[in-house]
Amino acid sequence: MNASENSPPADSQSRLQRIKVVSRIGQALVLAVLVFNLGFSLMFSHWSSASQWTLRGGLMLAFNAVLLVWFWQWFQLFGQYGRGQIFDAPTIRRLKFLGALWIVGWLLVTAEHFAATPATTASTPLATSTLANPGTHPVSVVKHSVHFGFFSFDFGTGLDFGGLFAGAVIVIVAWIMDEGRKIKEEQELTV
Amino acid sequence: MNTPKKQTPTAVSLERIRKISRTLKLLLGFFFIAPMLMVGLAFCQAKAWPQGCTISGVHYATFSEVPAALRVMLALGLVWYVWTLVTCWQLLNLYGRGEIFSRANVRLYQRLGHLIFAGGLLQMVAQAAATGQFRLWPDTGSGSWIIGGLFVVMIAAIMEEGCKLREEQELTV
Repeated sequence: MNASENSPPADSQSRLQRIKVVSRIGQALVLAVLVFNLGFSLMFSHWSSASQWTLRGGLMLAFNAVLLVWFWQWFQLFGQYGRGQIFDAPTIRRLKFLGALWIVGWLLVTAEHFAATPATTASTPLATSTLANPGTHPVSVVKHSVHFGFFSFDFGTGLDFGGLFAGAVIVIVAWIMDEGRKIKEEQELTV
Repeated sequence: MNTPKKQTPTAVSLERIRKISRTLKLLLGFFFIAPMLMVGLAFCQAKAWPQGCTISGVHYATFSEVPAALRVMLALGLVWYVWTLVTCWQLLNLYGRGEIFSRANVRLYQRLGHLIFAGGLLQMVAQAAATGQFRLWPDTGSGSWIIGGLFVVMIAAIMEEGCKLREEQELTV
């Protein structure tokens, strides 16, 4: 029997080759960004002794750890694509995991934001001056301005909900893909 | 005899996909339309035009102070905003129809990737126009959107090839 009978046609082989090339470019890009991020955080982070560690520092450290895992998962995902596993269950599971990691990262950044913003106390200059002069009452002038920014879904809270939205969308799209894969498998079994 | 029809797993999965698409559409509407409604509400509550605006971190006392380049960026941003919304809506419509791994989907992923990339680029240029300084790695915001967009474009390109491969295999069988 001729061995070439079982091999995919030339057109399919060239497609697989193209997928491999794009996957390798993707892996190289992920590695470049990972190295850049690592170098950036090593150069500009203020490393202090353990006794000086704060909650904010801990949260940022956790965020950097999540970021590293996130890039590593991207690298693995492109590796799976390169092996031709495009619509397989493990690939879709990895996409879902990437979305979940994005949400975890967003939660850590949000927690860091709250840890960085000190709570306002009641003894503001306005309040103390009113106490000193009981006959006077404060008049507050509210100036309102509009903030414009791309991808800025903060709804006036100071938090960017865009990250949470993107993570949720990745998880849901991966879930839809998983359902689609199951349908296709069932259809193939029926045929 | 009237017995309740038992749904096949495929029908159950399709129904679930339809439901989740509808939920995503609601979420999308909330995220894209709510900010516009909130700005409108802020105008109505203040019963006056705002006394200033902050664009890409720079405060301007009046809108006439905003540089022309930045105004162009804002107009482009608005176009980008609507186009992204339309693309996401089209994608969800395809999901609702049960089309998940089709070429039409992949084309929309590709467009979405380009839009994410363009959004990050636009944000970077707007920041440069507002501050007058150009930084190659401006902030985590635009940088991550540019790279994220590139990743989405790459995945879409891989999926397109995967779709073609699948079609060829189906034809061979």
